[in-house]
Parts: sequence; structure tokens; C-alpha cells
Amino acid sequence: MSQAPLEAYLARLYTDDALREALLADPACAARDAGLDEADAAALSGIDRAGLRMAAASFAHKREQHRKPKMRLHERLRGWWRR
Amino acid sequence: MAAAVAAGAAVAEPAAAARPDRVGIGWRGELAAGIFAHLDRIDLLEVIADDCFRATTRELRALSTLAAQAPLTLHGVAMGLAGSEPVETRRIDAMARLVDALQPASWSEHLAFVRARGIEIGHLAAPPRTPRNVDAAIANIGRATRLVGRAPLLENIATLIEPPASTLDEPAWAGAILDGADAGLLLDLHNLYANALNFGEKPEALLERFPLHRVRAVHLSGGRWIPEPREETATGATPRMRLLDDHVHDVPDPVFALLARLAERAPQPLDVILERDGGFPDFACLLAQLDAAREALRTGRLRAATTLREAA
Repeated sequence: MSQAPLEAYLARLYTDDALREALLADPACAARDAGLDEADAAALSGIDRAGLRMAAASFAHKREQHRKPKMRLHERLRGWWRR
Repeated sequence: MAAAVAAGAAVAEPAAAARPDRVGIGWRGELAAGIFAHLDRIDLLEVIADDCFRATTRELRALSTLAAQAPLTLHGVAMGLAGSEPVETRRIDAMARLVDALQPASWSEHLAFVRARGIEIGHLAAPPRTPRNVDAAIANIGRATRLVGRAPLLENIATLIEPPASTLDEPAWAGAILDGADAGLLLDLHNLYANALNFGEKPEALLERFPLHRVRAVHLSGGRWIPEPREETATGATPRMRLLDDHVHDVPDPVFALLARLAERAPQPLDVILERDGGFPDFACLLAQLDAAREALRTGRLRAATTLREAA
């Protein structure tokens, strides 16, 4: 069986503050609501709580960086001429 | 440097005499002046492929000019080859077009998932390390290899969270994928260092458990310590710290020591890339880190040669 549903749930945990807080408050209930199987739900009960919060914060920071406009490639390649 | 490294490598094992180790740096626009002024001290350049996927013909010409200055490697950051969903063909096609246009020395991606069911995580995430995931990653890498025309090197990532539901540890998981895909390892030594320290293992011991015979390239970078959240810290206690791999700090000495150990254990030639994404110091500081990498390689090669001599 694919673990795609579990990875999709993790992606939501990393990007959805409310879902993450719900999981941390009641892991078994949140995993059951997400339709995960018993083994995955049990694994989420023991999730690395500090790591989850830290990873989510790090990913949020990265997404924020991605939203900033980037220089075109040729501008970056030629940037050194202007120095 | 090349002569010194080559001398060490040549005595380490005959295969290593095929070519010397190479030490280079990740291409960033902010570093362009320093890079062009010091090409005599830079053996190769690594370009972030995703920055070039929409390159115009003129921009591709500029990249080809860059590739004429030093051997080029392409590094992808958003394919998500270790996800359990099939990677979208358009993402692999973009890499294939770039590889075809630039003919790099190698191309690489990460052992990570970056999206699932349309949700973009925004960065490299560690999937649950399971046999199910191994099979999916091998399928993704196989398809990428067919479409691009050659296999990627695959990089271990840093993670702040132990991926839940894992049944394999990181070296076993990575080794199973690399074996199944018959691919080389791009070993990021700062990622390895951070994961070891964050999850209670000695970095040297973790290094030894990776499939070192598959290492073709190495990343070096730095990071900073950040505290665990207050919500997860007992009242009155000092928060534990975790090491964040941020690419905006210098390479710490223990990572150079890991490089020396790797060079001692892995006789094949290595391409070593210094990654720096921000907090750019004077270029002399980066050159000093390239020199330190060469010295670490030389030390490791000489140790290996000594061991061989003593065993003979």
C-alpha cells in the first residue's frame, strides 16, 4: 500500500497551523479524522512535537522567501559586470 | 592543490588515479565577481537547475559560457524524487532539456519530498523512511533517469523532525534507494552532521553507516543553533537546541573532519562543493574554506595510503 496519504497529511501538518495544533492537542483523534490507518495514526501519536513545530516554522520561512521576486537569470549572470 | 590531492589519491587506490578530487563552489550571482576572479582556485561550479528551467536562448548561451570556464554540475531542488507520488513529467523534462543544453559533469537532486496532493511544503522534507517509500523513490528515480538520459546523484537532506512512521534509519533507507536505483550519493556532510547532533548520534558513526562506496560528490555548508519551542519545553527548563542547516554560515571544523574521514574511507574521486546562499563574507573567506576542504581531502587520502602501506 502506498504511503502517499501519510505524506499528504504531513504536508498539511507542515503548512496548516490549525491542523498542526489539532494534532498536537489530540493526535489519535486528528489522525482518525484524517482517515489514516491504525499504524500511521499510532506513529503520529509519538510524533517529534518540537521537531514538528520547528520544521513547520522553517518551511514557512522558505515559502515566504519563495514569494519574493527573483532576478532574471541573465541579470544574475551579468551582475558581476556591474561590480 | 590539484597536484597535492592527486598525489594523495593516487596512492590511495588505483581507481582514484583516474582523475583527482575536485573542489568548487555553488554559483550564486552575488559571488560571480569572486568566482571569475579566482577560477584558478575553483575546480568546478554547481548551478541551481531550477533557476534555469525558464532560461531563454540568450541565457542558455550565458550558461554555456560559464560552463566553458569550469566544469559545471546541475543541482535540482524541487523535484521531490523521494515522494511517494510520481514526479510530474514536466519537472523531469525541464531538467532533461537543461542537461541536454549544458552537458554538465553530473546532475543531482534530493532524497526528499516537497509536495503531496498539490500542497507545496516549500522546501525539502524527509518522508517516512519505509520500504513502501523506498519502492516509490526508486520508481521516480528510474523514470527521471530514463527521461534525462543519465542517473542523478542523490543528496541526503537535513531535517529538524524525525520523520514519523519510519521503520528504517536514514543510512539504511538511503542505501536501499541508491542500490535500487543504482545511483550515486551526493553526501551533504553538514546535513549529516546536523541530523546526527539533533537526533543523538555521533556524526562519525553516522557517516560510517552511509554507503560510502556510492559517494560521488560532497556538499559543505554551515548552519546555526536554534532553540526548541517554549511550548515543548518544561516550565523553568532551558530549551534544547537543534542545528539548522542554513547555508549562511561558514563550514564548521567538525564537518571538515568528516570530509577527511570520508576521503580516507572512500577511494573514488570526489567532487566537493561549498554551498553559500547568504550572509556572503569576503570572497577570501570562501577561498579559505575551499583550501580547508582540499587539506581535508589530502589528509584523508594520506591516511588511507598509510593504512594500505602498513597492511602490505
